[in-house]
Amino acid sequence: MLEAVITKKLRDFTLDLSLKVNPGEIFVLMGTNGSGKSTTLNIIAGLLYPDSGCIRLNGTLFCKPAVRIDLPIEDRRIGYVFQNSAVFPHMTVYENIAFGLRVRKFSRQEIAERVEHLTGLMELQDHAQVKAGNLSGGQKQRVALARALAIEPLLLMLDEPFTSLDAESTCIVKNLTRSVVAEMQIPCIVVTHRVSDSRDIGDRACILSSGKKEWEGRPHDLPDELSSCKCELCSG
Amino acid sequence: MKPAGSIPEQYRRTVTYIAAGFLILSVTLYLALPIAALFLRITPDLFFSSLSDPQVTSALWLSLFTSVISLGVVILVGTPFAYVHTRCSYPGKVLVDTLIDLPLVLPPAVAGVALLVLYGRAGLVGRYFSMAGISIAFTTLAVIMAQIFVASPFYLRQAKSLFEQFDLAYEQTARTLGASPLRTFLAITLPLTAGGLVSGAVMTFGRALGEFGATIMFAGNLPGVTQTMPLAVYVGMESNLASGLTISILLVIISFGIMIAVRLLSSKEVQHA
Amino acid sequence: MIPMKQSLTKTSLILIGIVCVLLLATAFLAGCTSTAPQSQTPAATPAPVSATPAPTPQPLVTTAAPVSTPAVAATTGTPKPTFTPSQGNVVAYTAASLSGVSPKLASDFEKMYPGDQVVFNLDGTQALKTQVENGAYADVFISASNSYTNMLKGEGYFVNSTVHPLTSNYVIVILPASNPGNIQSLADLANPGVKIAMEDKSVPAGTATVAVLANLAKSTYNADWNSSVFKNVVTYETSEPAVATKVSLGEADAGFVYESTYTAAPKNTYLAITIPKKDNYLQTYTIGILKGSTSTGASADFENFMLSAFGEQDLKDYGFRPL
Repeated sequence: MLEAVITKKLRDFTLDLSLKVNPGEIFVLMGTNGSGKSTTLNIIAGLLYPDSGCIRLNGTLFCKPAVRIDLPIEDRRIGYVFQNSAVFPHMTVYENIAFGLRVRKFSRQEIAERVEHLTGLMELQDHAQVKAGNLSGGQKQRVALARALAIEPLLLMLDEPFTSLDAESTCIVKNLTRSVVAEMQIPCIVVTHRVSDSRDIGDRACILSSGKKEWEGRPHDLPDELSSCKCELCSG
Repeated sequence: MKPAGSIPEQYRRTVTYIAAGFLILSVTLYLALPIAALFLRITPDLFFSSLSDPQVTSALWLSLFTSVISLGVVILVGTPFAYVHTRCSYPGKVLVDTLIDLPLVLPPAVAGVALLVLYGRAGLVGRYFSMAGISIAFTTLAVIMAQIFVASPFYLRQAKSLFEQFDLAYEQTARTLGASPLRTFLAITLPLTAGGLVSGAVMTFGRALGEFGATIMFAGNLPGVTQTMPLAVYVGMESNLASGLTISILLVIISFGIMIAVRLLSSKEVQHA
Repeated sequence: MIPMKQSLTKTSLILIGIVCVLLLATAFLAGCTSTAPQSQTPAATPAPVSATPAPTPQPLVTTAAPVSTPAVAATTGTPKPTFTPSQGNVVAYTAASLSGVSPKLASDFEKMYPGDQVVFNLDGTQALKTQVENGAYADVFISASNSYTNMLKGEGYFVNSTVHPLTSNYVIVILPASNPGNIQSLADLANPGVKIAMEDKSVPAGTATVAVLANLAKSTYNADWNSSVFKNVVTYETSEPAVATKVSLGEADAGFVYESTYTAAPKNTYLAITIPKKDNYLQTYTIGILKGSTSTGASADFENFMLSAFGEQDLKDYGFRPL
């Protein structure tokens, strides 16, 4: 279970929210650009440091500024998929997915097994030896998801995973996310601006505006159009 | 009478082509003719016989040796420095930024004087080295130090720019996957910036190879010890024209080789993006 | 992505300001403090140029007295202006050893011929010769070497009738005032570890030095001494003043330059060891007008000035030997 209480003064506003995500639950974080969604994910991942608060995952304290506790990024075992996938273009699909395992010094065989399993899940078996830089946007996103899952993360975070995806890839990713999260029983946060996506995979959702939670509840209870948000929103 | 602007299309096009051709030709010739003149001024026999002249061979060997070492030092020290400099904010960062560019605008002779006054036997720092029995001025070490001073900005600016523009998402992803900052740098950042870094390195090598003003001021001019190719050209032109021309031609050939290498490498890099 | 921008914070500005102030202060202090005066060893003979026979080492010359004869009063003074119809600009390619005296020459020339102006291009004679041979424009050429002059005459660059000997110079050994190499005589130049600065053989002063060393080896010392001296050379400079610079900075223990450089230098810059006249090489300077000159009138004025008593006096004041 992820428990996060975060306060951070940003340029235009102060980010101030608290989150609780249960194992096996997908929490959707919504809001306009610049409302603090990505910043929240970055703070949980350890890429940014909050001003105050407390972040705890499965009881382990990740970060508490008051007592200067800050667990390094590489020790948090979080699977984080960035908005633009950030697959390593100079490595093949195989090497990308294997990266986290190689860092953790898994045996060659273990790595091969896991990568094969994941490429199968993502329907990328035929592309295993292709340089990741040559893939389409949708394929890259699937590689990024596989790469994040390879390390068997304790928390999964996806930042706008569906924006650059075609319909087929969107379907695959949505189904996979749901099944993997349910199977591994890990908490999951997904950032998206589309209400339809939120309804498809989310168990709970909230709307961020200028760093503060404006609304929280079940995705089904979301209004068809988020009237308080300004752009890029479309109804189900 | 024809109204203005109704010049027939074909005439306009011909004029444009001629003007463009003239422009390209004049720029090309301005750059190419001096080089060609070098080759034409010496006969092939004289060139090849000069190649065995000890002044030529010692200058060639010394130049290559010192430039390679200078380049090595710049890369080994400069790469981590540029990385740390771009990723961290520290007091005085702006000053260091300016200092990196300083050798570019400083006349090489001034750089040479500065190095001499600092590291020379009577220099601020050099006097202590001298007391310990280490002499710096007038040695091959001085040649290398002069080359590093004037040539390092080429590499450092390039490396800085590459690391600054490097998409942090790659590094951040690697970190979340469990890689330490060092591993991230070696496995992700370096391979993806390598093409640009190599271009910077090649330019640095070229600058080190051609260094004259700081070298003659700080290291002096002693065949076999500090007489690099540019110095040998300058001295040779007055006493032994054949060797001066030969060394000049060798420098041109090496420079061309460098430029071709840069072009090949940067075209390779484009494929990556 | 998360930007990590560095803005020009107050701290950085203050730091830059402090550094600049420190640099200025250092420069100020360096300029104010003068080098501590060295204790001078007493001069052995009053006449600076002595020709002691055989192996006894030469005494150190410690005074900065000019080499010229003391009766000087009569010809000094400003030259009377001569107005000529040829008012023009003179480009004088001049041997680098005249660097020190050139401003005085310029102002006295312009006083003597108001309306004329001279611009000096000072460099090693070998470099100037190459430039002229490759088409550089010059009105007057002052060469430090007879052989270069003859080459240019032979190649047809000079108006041969205008080529005249101008002045002369002997070679001398200078040491930094602090004498870091503890050189007491010419023999010490061969001591291991001594750092000697010399001109490249393409520079007239360099050829002169080589000749001087050969003479000394034949007459006083021996071939081993000669080769040891050359082993001690750390740099072959491309002009004579560059050798003086290396010595004045204390980076070389000794350097071979012209007497004029030593004489004209401020007191206490150098110590010197004279070379006996019989072993020395008298470098003769020549002046001539080049065929390509378009400023012939002003060039003739300039040559007149240089060969006149006033030009000669200026050169004498700066240590050159009149012919």
